[in-house]
Order: sequence, then structure tokens, then C-alpha cells
Amino acid sequence: MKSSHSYNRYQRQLILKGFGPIAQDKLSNASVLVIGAGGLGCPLLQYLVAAGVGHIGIADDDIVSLSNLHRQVLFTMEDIGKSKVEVAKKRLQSMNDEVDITTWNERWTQQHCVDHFNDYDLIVDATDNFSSRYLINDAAVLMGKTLVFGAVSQFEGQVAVFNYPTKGDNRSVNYRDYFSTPPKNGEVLNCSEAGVLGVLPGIIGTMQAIEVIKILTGIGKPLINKILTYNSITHESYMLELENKSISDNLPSGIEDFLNTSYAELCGISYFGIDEIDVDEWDKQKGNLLLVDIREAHELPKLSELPHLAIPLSELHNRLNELTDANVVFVCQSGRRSLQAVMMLKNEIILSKVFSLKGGVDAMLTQKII
Amino acid sequence: MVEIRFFGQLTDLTKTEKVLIEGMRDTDMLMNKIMEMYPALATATFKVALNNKLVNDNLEIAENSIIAFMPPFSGG
Repeated sequence: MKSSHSYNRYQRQLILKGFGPIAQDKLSNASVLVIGAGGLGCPLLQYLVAAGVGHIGIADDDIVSLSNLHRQVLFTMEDIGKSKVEVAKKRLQSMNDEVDITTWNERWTQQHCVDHFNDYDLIVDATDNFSSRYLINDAAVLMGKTLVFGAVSQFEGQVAVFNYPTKGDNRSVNYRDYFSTPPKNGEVLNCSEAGVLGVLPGIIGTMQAIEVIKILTGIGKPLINKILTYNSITHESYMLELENKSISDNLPSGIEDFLNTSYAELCGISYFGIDEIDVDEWDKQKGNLLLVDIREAHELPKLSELPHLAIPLSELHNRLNELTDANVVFVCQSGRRSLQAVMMLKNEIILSKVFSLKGGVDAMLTQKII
Repeated sequence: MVEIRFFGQLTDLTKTEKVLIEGMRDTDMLMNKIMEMYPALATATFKVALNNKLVNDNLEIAENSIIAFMPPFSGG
């Protein structure tokens, strides 16, 4: 324990049975890298800094926007337009100046993993997309780092600890032992498309924080060889048990193979552009195209000013007969589900040509088409 | 009777979180039944777990088992 000042700061956890100065020293000597300073990262960082984790790295290339504020609780209205990592560092440092914070205002890449993972005891995945998640998972496994995973989907969230050292040289399961390959792009929606209640990443992010503290101090049992799914609406939780494989399927064979892997392509991001049409192009050709709104009935704004057909994605399979003769442009909120609809129809025999409207209703609003 | 649970965005396709089904001997039979009931699942990515363990082969289903259909989560 450094000083009486530190003692006062951490007094409530120091007096906790089974914690004490030994656990506190473990925290202050530890280093944790948090990738993503968004919905999961903000609450997670607050608690890690407050608890006195000695060194924290934060990576995020995004800036603060108004739509972040309902869940990204480190940021205020004055921060809109500023770098997330810079604002986060300032705010966190004002909470606890005993913690040393390093930031990367950059998109986290394979090279970042290779260059920096070894400087940290523990890696935390607080990102919001599959491409980053598979990239971080693979690097953690290849470089022998324990990874704390967290993710949300609408009202549910998941937490797990991957690649934790077990008996001998063995390690616990990683994400590839659950889903060995990523889903097709556009199939699983992110928060900007599917929506999220702000408090949910708050709950999941703090669950990740408690896993970090447990691992660093040796208290309790970390979530190894398991994935916890928590439902915030019912308060039900579901524990999936995973079996350890000696080699995970589809993992890059080594660092060189890892550096040569295109994670964007792996997650289907290269599909973007092929079957897409942008708002300008659609506006020129709209006389020859049937606009199909595939959003669910409750989604806003409605396209009432534009001639269109409304077929929610969940009903598309059963209503394909409504699409026959015309060339079709699918539209959703952001252009992700409409791309999914295009890919879905690739396996169907229909006579018309189908496109996805790039940027969706959001792009129509920006360009004042609606 | 077995209990089927759908997680995450699969519930957008099934319109339900839970369903009870009778007469299911094994997981292959159950998969066929579920695909017949919810054809929209055909294009979705998910894993199936029988009593909290991932199903990789055809497994016998005991009475009162819980079978979970789980998609990957990516949001943050």
C-alpha cells in the first residue's frame, strides 16, 4: 500500500473479508487493456479506475456524439465532437490520479495487438462489431493472453473469460470454440440498427469489470469454459458450458498468418458495394424500382410520402410472390438488414434484380429525401 | 415435454422466447420440427445447446430438457 491517502481511498474494499492490502497491491501492480470506450467500455473503465487498477490502456478511434450519451456515461454534452479516449482519460484521471492511463485514438488493428498485448496482463473486448471481436480473440489466443469478453443484443448481454491458463500449458475456451466463424455481414444487428436500452451495456460492462478484478486478485471463480447470457427484461440468466478443444477451429496458425488475415473480409464487409445502390442513384432510377421497406411495423419514420411496399424482414420468406416482376430496392434503417435481405434472396429463384439502399432511411433523412 | 428457448435476435424471427414441444426423441428430430415451425431460422446463424451444453451430434433428449437456440452477440 503506497500511502495513507491510498488506504483512505480503498478503505471500503480493503476491509472486505478475503480482499485486504494483498489484493489491493495486486490491482495496483496490474495492467489492463480495454479496447472500445463505448457502451461497455465507459462503465467498465470507471470501475477499474475507481478500484485502483494500476495501469490502464484505452483504445477507440471514435468521437463523442449525442446518440452516445444515453449509455456512454463518461461523456457529457460539452464533449460532443471530441475524441472519446481523450475525454475518457481526463474524466477518469479526475476520479483517480493514482492510475496511469495510456490512450490510442486509433482503430485497433492486428499490428496494434502484436505491438502492445504483451505490455498488459489482461485484455478486455469492449468493441461493438464481429470483425474487431474475432481479431482480438485470435490475437489473445496466439499471444497467450486472457481475454474478458462482453457483448449485448437488444435486451440481452453476454460475459465470458477466454483463454485463461488452466492445468499445465492448457488454456480455457475462446470465442472460436463457440462460433468458429463470424456470421454473414448484416445478419446480426448492432446497437445502432437493433437499438439498446442504455442501462444494459452498463450492466454487462460492470460484469466484465468484476471478472477483471476477480482474475487480477484471484478472488472467486472467473467465467471460464462458460458463457453467461443475461436477460435484463426477465432477470433470467443462462449459463452455457463449452468444451475445451486442443486447437480451435479456423484460428490463424501463427502470428504471420494472423497478420495476413483480412478480418473485414472474414466478416463479409467486402460484400458492401456489390449489391448496394446509394441514395443519389436510387433517386435517379426510382421510376424503375420497387422500394420495399423491410423494417418491422413499429419502426419510424414511416415512408408514407414515397410509393413503397412494406414487408418486414421476418415475413419476407413468405411474401416473395409480391416481388416478382419489378426490380427491387430493399430499405431498412441503416442499410444492414436490407443487405441481409439481398443475400437471403440470392438463394431464391426470383425473376427480378434486387438491391440494398446504402445507408437506409438514415441516409434518406440526411439527404432530405424524406 | 421439452422447453425451447430462443435468445437475442432469433426472437425477431420466431416472435417468441419460449415454446414447449412434445414427443421429441432426439436433437435431429427437434431441429426438423423447429425449422418447420420457424422457416425464417433457415438463414440465421445460431448454436443449439441441450441442457446447457453445445450440441454437435445427434443427442437423445430426456423429458423436461431445456434446449437453447443462441445467436452470436456483437453489440457494445
